[in-house]
Amino acid sequence: MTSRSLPALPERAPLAMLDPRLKILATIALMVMGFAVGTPAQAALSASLLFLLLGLAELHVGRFFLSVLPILVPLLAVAALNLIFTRTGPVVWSWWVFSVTQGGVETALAYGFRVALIVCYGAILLATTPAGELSSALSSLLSPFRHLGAPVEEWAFVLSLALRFVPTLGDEFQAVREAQASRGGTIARGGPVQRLRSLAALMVPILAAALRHAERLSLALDSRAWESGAPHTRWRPLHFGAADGCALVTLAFYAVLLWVLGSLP
Amino acid sequence: MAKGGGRVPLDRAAAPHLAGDEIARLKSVGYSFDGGEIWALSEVSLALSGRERVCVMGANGSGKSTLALLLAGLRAPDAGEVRLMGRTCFSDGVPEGSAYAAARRQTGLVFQDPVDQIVAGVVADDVAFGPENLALPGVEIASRVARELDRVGALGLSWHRTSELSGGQTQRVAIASAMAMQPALMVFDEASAFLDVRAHAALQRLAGRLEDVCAQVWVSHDVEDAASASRLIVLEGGEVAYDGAPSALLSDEERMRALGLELPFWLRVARALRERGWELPPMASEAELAKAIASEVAPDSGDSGDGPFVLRAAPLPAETSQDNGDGSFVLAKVLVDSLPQDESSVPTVLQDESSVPTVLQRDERSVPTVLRGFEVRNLGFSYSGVEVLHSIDLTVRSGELVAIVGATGSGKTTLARLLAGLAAPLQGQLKFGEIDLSSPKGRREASGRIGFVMQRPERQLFARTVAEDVAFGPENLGVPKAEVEARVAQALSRLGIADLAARSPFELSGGQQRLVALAGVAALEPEAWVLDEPLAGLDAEARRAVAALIDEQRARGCAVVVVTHDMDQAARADRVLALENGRVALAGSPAEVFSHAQELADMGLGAPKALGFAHTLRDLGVRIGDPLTLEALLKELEEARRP
Repeated sequence: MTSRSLPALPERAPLAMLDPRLKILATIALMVMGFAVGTPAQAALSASLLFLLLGLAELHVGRFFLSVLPILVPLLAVAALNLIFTRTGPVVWSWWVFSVTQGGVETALAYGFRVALIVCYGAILLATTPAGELSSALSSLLSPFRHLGAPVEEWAFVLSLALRFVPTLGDEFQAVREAQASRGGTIARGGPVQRLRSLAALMVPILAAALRHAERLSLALDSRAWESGAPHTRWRPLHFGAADGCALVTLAFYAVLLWVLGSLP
Repeated sequence: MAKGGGRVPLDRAAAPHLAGDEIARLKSVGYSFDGGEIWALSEVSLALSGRERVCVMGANGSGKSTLALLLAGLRAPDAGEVRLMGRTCFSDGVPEGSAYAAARRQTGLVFQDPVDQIVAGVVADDVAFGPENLALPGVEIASRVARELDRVGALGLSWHRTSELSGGQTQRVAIASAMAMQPALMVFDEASAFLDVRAHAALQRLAGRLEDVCAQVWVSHDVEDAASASRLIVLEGGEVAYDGAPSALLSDEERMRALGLELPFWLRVARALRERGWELPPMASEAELAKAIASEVAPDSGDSGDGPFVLRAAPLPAETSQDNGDGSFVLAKVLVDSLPQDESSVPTVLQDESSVPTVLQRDERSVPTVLRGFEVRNLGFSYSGVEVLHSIDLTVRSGELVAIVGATGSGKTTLARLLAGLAAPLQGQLKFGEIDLSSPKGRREASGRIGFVMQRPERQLFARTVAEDVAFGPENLGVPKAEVEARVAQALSRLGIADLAARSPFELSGGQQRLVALAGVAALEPEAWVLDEPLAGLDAEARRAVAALIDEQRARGCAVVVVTHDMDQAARADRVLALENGRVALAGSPAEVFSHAQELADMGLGAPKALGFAHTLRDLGVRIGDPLTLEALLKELEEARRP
């Protein structure tokens, strides 16, 4: 910077500053390795890594787990089915026609832990990587397809725009649904004709909203000089730096340690 | 102002624009949505140059937004000639694409709904988006991002997700993103309509700071926005009806009324005082009026201590009461105030002796058979683990109007949804008459009995004609066909839009659409009303129609709950509930709540205009109480003048 009086942007969390391409590939690798976690030692190791990542992501631990809970609960419930359906080893508890074996407990725990691990890795990736970075990383990773004539970058941009409007349209859908319900218009009640009209009362405003957003968005893109295919720069180009190297080494170290712990007697 | 002033930008867009340069020149411009049948604009000629701050006003549907898009180079007209940024963009019916593209690069645009113009998932990336498209080097972009976010006071939000910002924050980001293009012109299309008082005040301060940087065009309904502009353009039916200094028009009562504009508060005070026989000299600002009143009312005369508003408020904080010199309150918002400006259009129930609106006469003929109120005890609600409402107590009896106020994110809208029976409370008691709204059965029973008007209810319109849309509610409730028709006709005429019955709701102006949506709720003939920001974004005429509907429903005996950021509307309620972070911060009569001026200011809320003016007068030595409405202020002044 040439001038000291210029305001400076605040710092970001270390994990947020990593190359998103590395983060996507590393997350996939961690998820695959998650399936290899079987022993208590391995579980302890992977749990430590998870908390290290949460620290580097500067995420509030309690709020983070609360945010993954809705995804985790049904998956953990499925894991718990192992308690009933796995019948290996001695019976540790039984009631009426149900009995729980030691093998069932172990399978349920291992399965549940792995699922939780994988969900958390994914959630950390999403929490530290905004949609725009994800899409530009994907377009970079898919760049070989550009040689086949596919406009990968435009696709990625359109995808990120679409993702951006999902919550907005979701909120509007909810508001219109409630407003029509308060006028007695719900597709849950009434004869077929009335239900069809209630459906129209929902879909027409949502369609109108989508068109309104699309029109305004095209004005906004115009007013900010966006032209499809025109040359432009990136103010934060994807860049594999020293921190990314460190992350890669850590990942490799973790993989080796996990393998060693798994092959211990 | 621009901190990076010494740097020479490398981009093709940032050619420095000198004061006095031509920004835009329109000559006999016409614009039609439907190929020439109806003209949204016709014969519009005007020129913009230098760093003017122009306010564009006019009723809903007068062509304001279309003019904004034309000036921003985002729409080409159907007739006339357009020059933007010194180049001819449109002449002889032919648009010049490259000239338009060049003009757009030098123009920033901010919509009423800033969400629509945010393209990136992260704040800093959104600000960088425009400069990236200009192919600027990364270092230059980074410095612009920091500079513009700093200018709008959002540097701390740099790495926040754009989806998690409040309305006011989103707007600031949208402005920073537009400013990062280093525009010679910024266009704000009704940018302040949905902001709370604090965000609106911040926006007005920002407008002041931008005066050194670029030309500004503000499309607004807000007289205070107009008063602080350097030039005012008023559109009427697509034509320029006024173009000149704001003060000349804003003090011209006859002309303002003829143009369908709301009079500034001080002008209404002056007019009402003259009608009451006060001899006031001609004047051009609120400060002059205050001085004239002060010289008319001998200081220390009259004892106002036994009027209806005896509560002495703490002096308003400096920000609230200052800056009256140019005829504007900084924090006060324009509002209906429903004082009849046109005596024939509104029943004159609020004259002389009745200074408090609760004494409205009840219309015995149309009282609904069952009257229910709301009873709320210890109400709590959370949204994905975050507590939105905590321990709310509220009673609304039938025939009562309760205003809920609070800054953005204080839980107002959630409370409105709960009262309307649209969500189940997590804690506490929520009753509508004897119906328990916390049970699914109770909510089903209440369906159709509580009229709910969401924010921007015009967005719920769907049918082919206005009449069909209004009939949707009663038909769903199984009302017989003949009665449905009668109800539709009644609801439409009640809102003064009977002539629109056969039109498509999608071809109406925003204000007309709002009235249609309200008619759709009125046709349910609900026992109670819950309205979320019913006046926001409306012109003076539509506001009067909505305010009249609310008064009428209250007079019918309905319990009415209004969520509002408009303190003048809140001042007319029977009771006011001020929410802060999901808790009741203040509750009571308007006089009680507005006596806590400092607490309200801390919450980001303002004061009714009458109260602000009374404080100005008090500073000039006039002994006056704390009137909350125009009528109360007039009464106080009359008493103060009496020997």
